[in-house]
Order: sequence, then C-alpha cells, then structure tokens
Amino acid sequence: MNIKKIIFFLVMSSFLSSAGEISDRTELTIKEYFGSDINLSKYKISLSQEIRVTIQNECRQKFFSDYIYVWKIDHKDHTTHYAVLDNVMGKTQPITFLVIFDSRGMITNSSVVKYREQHGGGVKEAHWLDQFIGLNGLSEFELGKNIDSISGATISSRSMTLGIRKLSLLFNYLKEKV
Amino acid sequence: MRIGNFLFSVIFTLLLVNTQTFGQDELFSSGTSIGGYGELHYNYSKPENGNETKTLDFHRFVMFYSYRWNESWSFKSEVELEHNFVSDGQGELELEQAYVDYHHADWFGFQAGVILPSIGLINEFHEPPLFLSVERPDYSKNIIPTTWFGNGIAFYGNYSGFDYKVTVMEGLDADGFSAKSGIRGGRLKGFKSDAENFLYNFRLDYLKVPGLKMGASFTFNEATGDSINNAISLFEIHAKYNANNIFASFEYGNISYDKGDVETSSGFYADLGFDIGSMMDLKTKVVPFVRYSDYNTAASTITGGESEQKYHARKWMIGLAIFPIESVVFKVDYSLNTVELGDSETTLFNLGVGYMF
Repeated sequence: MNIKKIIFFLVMSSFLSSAGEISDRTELTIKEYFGSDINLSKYKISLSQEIRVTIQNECRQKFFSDYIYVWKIDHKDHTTHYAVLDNVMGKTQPITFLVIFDSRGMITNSSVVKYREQHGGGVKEAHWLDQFIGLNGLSEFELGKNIDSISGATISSRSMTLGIRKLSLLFNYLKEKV
Repeated sequence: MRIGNFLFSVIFTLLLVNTQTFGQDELFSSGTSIGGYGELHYNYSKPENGNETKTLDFHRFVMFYSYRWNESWSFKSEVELEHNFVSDGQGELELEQAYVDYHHADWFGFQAGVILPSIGLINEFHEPPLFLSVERPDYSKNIIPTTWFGNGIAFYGNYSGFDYKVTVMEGLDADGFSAKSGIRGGRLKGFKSDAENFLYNFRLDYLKVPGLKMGASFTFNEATGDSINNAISLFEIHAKYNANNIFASFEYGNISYDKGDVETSSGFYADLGFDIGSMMDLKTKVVPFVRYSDYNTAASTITGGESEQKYHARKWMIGLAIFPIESVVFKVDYSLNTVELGDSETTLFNLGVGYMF
C-alpha cells in the first residue's frame, strides 16, 4: 500500500511540477532579486530570421525557438531592468535560464530557472553565474578564460556561456520591442 | 487506498498530463541528443631490462545517444569500441551505459539499466579533455577499475551544494580478483551478471566552493565466485580544482578483501598543472603538469615479503596538455615507472589527441 502511494506521489508530482510553473518561478526569481516594490510586464517577442541568423552565426549556437520571453521591470514608473528567459541544450535536456540586464544592457544577474539533468548542475550555482555580472554585448565570453569551465559540466557550462552571450547580443533588439 | 482508487488516481494523473503538456511545450521539446568522445594514442615503452615497444592505437571511440520523452523521463546510452577492432579477444565492443532516467527534481532522480557506479573522479567523467595525461591515471585502472559499469539502479540528487548518488548493481566475480589487477578482473560488465549479492555504492560530493569538487565514496560487495566467495569494501576520497588557471586533482583509494592472500589494495595520485596560455593572453589553454602516483594492488598480503613489492608501482610524470578549444585536447607526457621489487624502471612516452562533443 505504501509503495503504491509513493509511486502515485512521484508520478503525480513529477508531471505537475513540470507543467506551467516556469513563468511563476521566473517572476518569483525576479522579485527575490529586486524585492516586491516593482511592476512586471511580460512580453513574448518574436525573433526575426535576420536577427536569429546573425546572432546564431556569431555565437555558433541556435536559438531554442523563434520567440523569447521578456519582463520589463519598473521601479516607480521608471524602467530600470529587463529580464530575459531562454533555453539552451545541456547534454541531453534543455536548461531554462534567466538573465537580468540593466537599461544599458549590462548583466546584473543570471540564474537557472529549471535544470533537468543529473550531471552538470554546477551551472546553477551562484558563484559560477556571478561571473557574468558586468558583461554586455561587447564583452568577451570565453569559457576557460574569463568564465571558468566546470568539472563534470563541460557541455552545460559551454552551452550556458553561449546562451547568455546570445541574449546579451539580442538585448537592444528586445529593448526596442517592449 | 483501494486498487480501484489507485487506478483512478493514475488515470486522473495521465489526463492531467495530457491537458498540461501544452503548458510545458514552449520551453521543452522531446527529441534525441547525440554525443561522443574518442582518443588516438602513440605509446612508447622501454623497460630497464627489456625491449622497447611502440604502438599507435585509436584507444576509444564512443557514441552517446539519448532520447527525452518529457522533462522527467529520458533514455541515455553509450556504446564504446576499444582499439578500433574486435576479433579473437582483441579489442572490445561494450554497452557502457543504457538506462531509463527519471528526474523528479534537483534533489531526487533515479536511473535503471546499465549504469556507472560513482567511484572517484574518472569513472563517470572519463572523456579525454577531462584529464591531463594521454592515458587515464594508473590509479584509475588498478585501484578504481575504470570504466566500471553494470546492470542496476541508482538514485541521485543534489541539495545545497551537496551531490549524492546511491547505486545498487550487479556484484563482482570473486574468481576474477588478483594480486596483479585487484578487483578489475571481477567486473561482469552487464553480461548475465550476478544477482546473488548486489554491490552497494554511496557517494557524496561537495560543490559549493568555486572550481572545486571534493567528495568520498564507499562501495561494498559480498562477491561470489565458482571457487571462492570474497567480500570487498572500497573506500576512496577525491578532489579536483579547476579554476584560476590551475588544474589540480587528487585521489586516494583503499580496497579491503575478506579472503584470499591479498588483504588490501591501495593507491593515490596527485596532479598539478597551470595554464600558461593565460599569461600570454592566448585563447588556447596550454597546461604543463606534473603527476606523482603510487599504487599497490597487493599492498598487504598474508604471505608478505616480495608479494607486497611485486605490484607496487611509483611513477613520476611530466606532461603538456593543449586545449585549442574546451572539447579538443592534444597531449604529450613522459614518465618513469618504478616497481618496488628489484627497483625495475620503465620509461614511458605518450602522445595523444582526444575530443568530446
């Protein structure tokens, strides 16, 4: 009987936890960073083929889809930051991550919203993600140089580094659209 | 909970899955992933009192294939061809991994099939760009019998910087243990393996310090065989630091045997390297390194004397690993291996190229 309950709990919670929570979790992450004294506006931005191809060629990594979610963050009627949500592929599963930019496109925070694999979880750690703070679309994102690679997470760390750089290059395009 | 209620609950859950799949489609897509690694080696060996040998060997060619059904359920596999040829006992074709993976959350998941126990730094992470020498460290062959794989189930997860894995898998064949190779010959590699006495493996790592991975594992098996039953326990500690242009690794392991002449096998190695490319502002990583290793597959025996010296090897190695990109490495190393019995020395020189993707 107990085994049945455990199996049911695992099956149930696995599917429930994976469905429809990304958006809520993202907004919670943003509010944890800024506090509750902000207004959030969510946008779904389509990426033109031209901008996708240009950035993909520059970074040598494809976009996960042809649109992207952006939150405009307002403090007292002034837009101070933008949060961008995207996916990159880890070794076998997508990694959903969030990058927060100030109004000039400089990264002020990044975090992993959902990680789906056993290995490579080092990319979730704040001490690794904090290396991107202060970078922008003109910066170098060089894994093994200004960004440390992670033992046991070579593919995930490479993928995340390229993914965050992609969003940095995309920032001005997104800012114009929201 | 009655059976009827239970089935209803399951059906209800499946309906929920169908109705909520749309919600996760935007940030998830089912599909396949492929990967792999390989390495070509040139090996030169000159024993103090023997003839030199030179070989050119495509040591490993590995293909990784996985399929993800949804965010939680996936399949992963790895097939390896060793020495580029399989015939008459030469070369090996192995299914090193093939398992269903269920990832519930960061703190819990499980996998069932052909799996890897989590022992030391290299058994689970053995792609050539992840270690500095051309060949894997001697320790990772003679004390930890890398690559160690078999049929079983494992539970894993991480929480607050701690990463754990618990593995229950096929046991070892006690007839395969030897003074020369420790437990290496006892691996059954998933081939109609022993389900009489399972092997239990527990590993805990700490990952919160930037660039550092450190941890320990304990493995236990009441190994059976046609001629002898021999319980073994393996305790090891490991640490790896890769940041600030420093490459450092350390592993120590000890195997205790319940029966037979050999009572313990033990060994360790330490690596220290530094990326001098960083000082020249190169994008290519250029890592000279030094390694010292010491292992003895018959560290303690009942008979004692020469039997404890015959398989005791110490090795100094210097080398260079060049990474034009993170996933490709060119390597060269030179080493002097000394066996305690007779102080016999062997000079080794290796060249290699490796990749992963």
